Amino acid sequence: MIRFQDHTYKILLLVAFLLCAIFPYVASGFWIRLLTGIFLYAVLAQGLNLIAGFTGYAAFGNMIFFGLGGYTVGILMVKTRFPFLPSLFAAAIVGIIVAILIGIPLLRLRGHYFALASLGAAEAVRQIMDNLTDLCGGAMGLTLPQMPGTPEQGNMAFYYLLFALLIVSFAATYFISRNRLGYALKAIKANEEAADAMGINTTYYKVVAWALSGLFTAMAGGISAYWYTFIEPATVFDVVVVVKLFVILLLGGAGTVMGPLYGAFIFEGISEIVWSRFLNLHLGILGILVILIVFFIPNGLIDMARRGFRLKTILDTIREERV
Amino acid sequence: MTREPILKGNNVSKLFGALKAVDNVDFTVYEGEILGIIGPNGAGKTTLLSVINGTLPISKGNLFFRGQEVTGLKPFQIAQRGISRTFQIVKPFPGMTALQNVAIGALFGRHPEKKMSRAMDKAAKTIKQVKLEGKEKILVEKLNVSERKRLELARALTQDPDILLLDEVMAGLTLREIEDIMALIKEVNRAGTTIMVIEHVMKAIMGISDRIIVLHHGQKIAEGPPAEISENQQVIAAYLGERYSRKAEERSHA
Repeated sequence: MIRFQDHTYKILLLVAFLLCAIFPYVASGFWIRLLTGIFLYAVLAQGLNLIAGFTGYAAFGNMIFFGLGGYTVGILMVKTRFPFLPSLFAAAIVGIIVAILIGIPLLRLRGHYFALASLGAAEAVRQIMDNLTDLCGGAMGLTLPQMPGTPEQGNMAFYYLLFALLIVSFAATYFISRNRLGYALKAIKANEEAADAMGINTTYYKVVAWALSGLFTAMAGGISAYWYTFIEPATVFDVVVVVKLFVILLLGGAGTVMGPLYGAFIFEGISEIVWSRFLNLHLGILGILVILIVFFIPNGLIDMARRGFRLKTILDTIREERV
Repeated sequence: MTREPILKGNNVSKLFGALKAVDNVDFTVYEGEILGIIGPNGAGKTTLLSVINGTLPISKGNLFFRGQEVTGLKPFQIAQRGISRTFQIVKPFPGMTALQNVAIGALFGRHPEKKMSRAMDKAAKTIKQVKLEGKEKILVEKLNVSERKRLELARALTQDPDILLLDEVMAGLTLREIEDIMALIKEVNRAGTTIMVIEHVMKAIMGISDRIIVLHHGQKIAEGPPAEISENQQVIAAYLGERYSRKAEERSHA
């Protein structure tokens, strides 16, 4: 049984951490970029995990924060010549503020209504960005300056930036899952009416969860924009990315601390190794993967690992989920 | 002994479109008492409880708790003032253990524990009080009906409520389990908690209540001590039936 508090598991995590820390010094550029991409997806999935996995609110509009984070960094660096790190800090603030502002009205909706409303909000923000030509290049996008130094140094810098953000986001989620906030979110996900009757101010806690989600997602967006040196509305507000994040969550285990990381590793691994050879079937394979995960491992790999990887366990899970 | 009113409802109504689920009900709950609410299915008992704790918004009327108006407050605000409830169809938090479920009661509500360790200790004590010891680490979805009812009671009790609203906590239980829950309710009441209880198990509600309110078609048709209620002709006709009345008479002669 895999548990976070298990001694062996902690040692394994430490070893993985050390390997990741020295990885850029022993691996080639391709592998560094691949792992950087995995870190990016893991952070985004963890951001989504806070609102969707822990709180049970399918925030299909989470790309709002990714896009706005990227645009905040882009606009500040291009238009005002701000250095990157203060721009990234500003992106984090923007992520929090926007999450609070749209969360207060939207998080009063439940279930499908919230999912659709958040998707609508993302589309609205995309349209606004499309039309803000003077400020952010409109649909043509915005080109950011390159990081000073050689491309290899740039690769390493983005690797460590996202690795640091990954550690911070996962550590934060670990502590949240074990304190009052985490208990409130789990109760809201399990039964919002009962949580409310228990004295939990559900709107407040949901907004806090989305603000944290907005924080990490916007920071990831900011780093990503500087990494790719280009940002455009069609890419950063793309709903397909959120669908991928949901697949990652489902795969690893929604509502678990480590699920997004395992999900991102597996998903991006599959994506890089297999999908790059089937570019035309990319979305089709994504759809099939969603169906297979929901059908066979609805609670994710962490839950499956806890129960044991056996055919009987898989069949039991399917039966339980259908009841 | 004169008791202070702790909860008061004036002309409380709850409308669902044209349907008057609760229709101009006046009630007073006195500190330290057990107030039973009975009535046929659809009489408005659960709706009244839901209106009191804010789960359903009140349509008309006013609610006062310890003299202060609480009309229109949200359920979490009502809980934070000291009114906790259980649900007719239990609503545990799946994916969490029994101890974690009960700890949520301690972490929020009127006297929220700031420290997780203290909340867990308090939850463990309450679990013992409702006789669920040994089940602390079990996921709630693995508990049986009786255990889930106790868990729900424990979750409300960890909040140290002034008033506990119990909605059919004995439904679906065996006779032995009902007796255990009755003893527990009395024990909680003796410790100072005022209780408002909805129940269909007549033996239980007549046995534990100090006073009873009878609802029928959303209206209050009677109020008084159990002995008086069991002889009220309107209540017999609307809910208890002649058979119950005869049995009650036989018991009083025995």
